[in-house]
Amino acid sequence: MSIILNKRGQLKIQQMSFMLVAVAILLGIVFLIYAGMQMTGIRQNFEDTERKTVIGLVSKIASSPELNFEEKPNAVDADKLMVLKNERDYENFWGSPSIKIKGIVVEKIYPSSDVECSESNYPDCGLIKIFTRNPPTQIGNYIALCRKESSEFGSYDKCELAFLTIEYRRLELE
Amino acid sequence: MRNKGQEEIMGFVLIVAIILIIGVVFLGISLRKGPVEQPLSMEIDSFLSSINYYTTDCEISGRYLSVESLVTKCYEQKSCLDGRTTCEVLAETLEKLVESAYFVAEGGVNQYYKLEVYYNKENPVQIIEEISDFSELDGVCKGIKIYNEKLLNTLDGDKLFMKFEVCKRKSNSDDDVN
Repeated sequence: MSIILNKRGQLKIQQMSFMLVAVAILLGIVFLIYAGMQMTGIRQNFEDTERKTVIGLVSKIASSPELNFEEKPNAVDADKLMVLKNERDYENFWGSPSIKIKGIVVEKIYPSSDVECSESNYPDCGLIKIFTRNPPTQIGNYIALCRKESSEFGSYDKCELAFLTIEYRRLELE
Repeated sequence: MRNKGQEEIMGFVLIVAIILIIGVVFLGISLRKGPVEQPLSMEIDSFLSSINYYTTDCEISGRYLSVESLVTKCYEQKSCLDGRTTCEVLAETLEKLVESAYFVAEGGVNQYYKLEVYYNKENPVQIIEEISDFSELDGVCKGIKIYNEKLLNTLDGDKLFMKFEVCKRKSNSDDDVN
């Protein structure tokens, strides 16, 4: 009689352990799904923050006296850009505590042109690359690309629509 | 004996059901998001500033006008030196600028755009016809709607505004809405 009861007890313990394992697996799956969702959210937030920082940096560059056109916000002087092409001292000049700017690319949007600017073809070109040879990245912001032009009535400001992108390196925070 | 077995099965089902209910409630709470308050877009703000500096081919008094000056002249119903009306040149220029930057195409990033130049914010009066492309819009904006507006000038008590709105398709990296 006691052997039968013992066996039944063992069976009960087995049943119980199976159920506990099943419940643990179920909870584990739920936790994994939740953790995955949270991780995706954290990654998206990180990318979002970095993107906003970079876009803020673009505005900061456009407003810096080294590039700004006649103190107009969001307007970049194309002549200054052309001069900077050969000024290696300005490499690593712009950035923030977490981001170092490696290169600047300004691409004319309207009127558009794929021709890279050099001393020989400027201003009849549409792509100004500073400290980089790479094509423009996706992260950037719209600017007005301005220069002085002359007409029969004297000089005037000629501004066109352009997109300023930056090539950057993320710095490890100390 | 059979009753006991049934009781155990019921107990198991009950536990699983309770865990599932807790899980669903928890997921529901974590997935629920409040109404999305659309912040003013930094990208559109820069775009509006940039296009307002754009130098047009409309010449008045020996100088080429910027888009911003053209808006003022259009409000005053002036004409360019070559006889075209400033409103005509403004509409044409803005259309080209917007089309170049926010091209709408099938499967492209932009689902629609809409640009308005108006005065009187409470009861807007458009000084040129709205510039828009809704060709790829099937219903409402399913992506991210970004917009901003810019006060250009105040004339005779009327405030001139330019407002631009874009619907961008959602992609993995496109949380740059501001």
